[in-house]
Amino acid sequence: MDSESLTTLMQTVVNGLAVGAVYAALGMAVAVIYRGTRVVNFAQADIAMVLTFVFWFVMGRGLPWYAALASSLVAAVLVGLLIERLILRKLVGEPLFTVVMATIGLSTILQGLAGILWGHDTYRLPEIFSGSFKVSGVSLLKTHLFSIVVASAMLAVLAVFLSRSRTGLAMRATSSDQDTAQLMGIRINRISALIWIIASLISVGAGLALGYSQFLSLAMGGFILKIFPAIILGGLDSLGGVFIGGLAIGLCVSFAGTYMGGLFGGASSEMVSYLLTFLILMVKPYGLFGARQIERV
Amino acid sequence: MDIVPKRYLEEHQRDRRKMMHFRLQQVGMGVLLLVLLWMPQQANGYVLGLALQAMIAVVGAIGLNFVVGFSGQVSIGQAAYMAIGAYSTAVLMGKFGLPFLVALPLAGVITAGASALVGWPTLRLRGFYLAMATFAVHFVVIMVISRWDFVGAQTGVAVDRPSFASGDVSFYYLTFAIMALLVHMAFNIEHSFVGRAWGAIRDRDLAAAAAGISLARFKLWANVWSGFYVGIAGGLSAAFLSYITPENFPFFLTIQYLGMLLVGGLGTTLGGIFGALFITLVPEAVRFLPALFGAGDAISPTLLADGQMILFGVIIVGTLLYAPKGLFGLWEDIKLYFRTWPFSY
Repeated sequence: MDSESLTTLMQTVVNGLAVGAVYAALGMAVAVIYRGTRVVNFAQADIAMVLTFVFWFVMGRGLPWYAALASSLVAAVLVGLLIERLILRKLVGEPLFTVVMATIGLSTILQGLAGILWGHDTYRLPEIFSGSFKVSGVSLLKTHLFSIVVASAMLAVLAVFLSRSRTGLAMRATSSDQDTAQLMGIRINRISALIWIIASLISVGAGLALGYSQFLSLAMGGFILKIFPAIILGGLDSLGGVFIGGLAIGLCVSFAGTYMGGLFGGASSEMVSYLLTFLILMVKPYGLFGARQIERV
Repeated sequence: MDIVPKRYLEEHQRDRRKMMHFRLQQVGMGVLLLVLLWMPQQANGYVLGLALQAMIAVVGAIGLNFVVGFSGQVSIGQAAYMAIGAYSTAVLMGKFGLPFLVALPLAGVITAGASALVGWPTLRLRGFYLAMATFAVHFVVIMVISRWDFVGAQTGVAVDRPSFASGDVSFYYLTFAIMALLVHMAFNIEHSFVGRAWGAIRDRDLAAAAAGISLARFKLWANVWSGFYVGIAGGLSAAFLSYITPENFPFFLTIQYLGMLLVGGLGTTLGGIFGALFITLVPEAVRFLPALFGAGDAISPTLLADGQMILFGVIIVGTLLYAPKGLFGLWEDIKLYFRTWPFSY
């Protein structure tokens, strides 16, 4: 292999990991909610979009980035609490279809509100970091590095929180057996509120990663549909699995873009992840790391 | 994991009632029919267009209901199947020169075939996983039609209305006739052993299998019937729009149809009809809000779209929270109230 094609290969890998990190970040938010409450949240990308708009709005007022980040995080806590309190808590124990439709309804409400508040234009987030590092011909954009760092950091923090802290233990207990957890004195309502808050906080990171690597617009809400392949591949209820699934799908998309560009009329990079999803569902429906439930027809 | 609430017993009891039990109902249906037939003579283009959209939505919603409401399989491929129906109609008419009334049922059959083709390998999947598989299908179908030059790729393709129904009024009557036929068929399917088998599968598939119902066969039948109805809805919408592009079949269309089922009431044909009418007509009210508050009738298209999005979401969430059985449930409650009056039950 000559050095030029090696550079192309390395570049493809780097780009794929960067894209995959964004998938992984948002996927983790969805997985946290699914693990804890058995809700598949179709509004997660819309939540991320709204929170990123908050960040953009505050920075647009001339405030420094840490003020914007802080207000975005505060907004995340509020949004998470409100959604859990007003909608999802009342639907506890309802069938999956019902709760999914509730999150879809929520998603359209957020889309409409964001459209009225911030318009339908495409914005660029104010630059904090720009440019790129270059290592022997392979360039790594700082925004890409940001995505990778944010996603990995969030996974690490979440893993430590879930495995080391008392609250994390309570959350794991609740997701494994709600009734028993309740009998042990764990307040289920608080846990469920906490889960939504944590997912919203993760969405801030995911939204910023997405916003910095692409654009900020209402279309970010549709991003949820792109991360489902990652979630399916990794297994819906495994955080680490979703992280790896996100990176894998990112690599797939990137490789398809570089090496299969001509196929499917130039749409191969998007097509591949969905074809892969279908295949995974046929062969290994619970993903690589998901809990197996055996169902037969 | 239950997909839709259990009410098989309830449904069984309703089955035993006839479709039109009372003189009042017969008179009511007659009046409704007359109004619907008389309406296009008076209505303007805007009202007529809305009525056409609503009727197409009724057909599509009934079709989706076979899969999601009756047999309890969550499918989010609705927009893709409508696209298949619409493009089949366009191609059969445009490239093969078939008349509309031949192309339309053929498009239904083609869509039914496509639906069965997807339904067969996904029989094992349930709930969220099935939804994801059908979503992958949606994506692939939309990708194919937006890249395939044979069907016009991004530029789309023109569809002629049949020569005898090229105007809006005559097309209204044609659509009305087709819709009436399909609705009648749907009521019959609902009350046949197929419909009851679907209900049994949805409520408890193991018990249904133990009672001798072949799960695979009836789930496939649900896909076939659903595909047929949705394909015809797609063909009708193609003729209604007279020009179709891939943008006419966004994922949001699927969400709208799911919303219709939810608002109307899952698993009943009447519920599907209620929901289709409600979701098509009510968001239009946003258009008249500014005039109502004396702010003039100027409303920008984007603001209108945003307002409709919010209203749609509020309707969905509100239904789930406050009327989980949908409009059909409310309808039953009202009927029960008058039937048992002055007693409370």
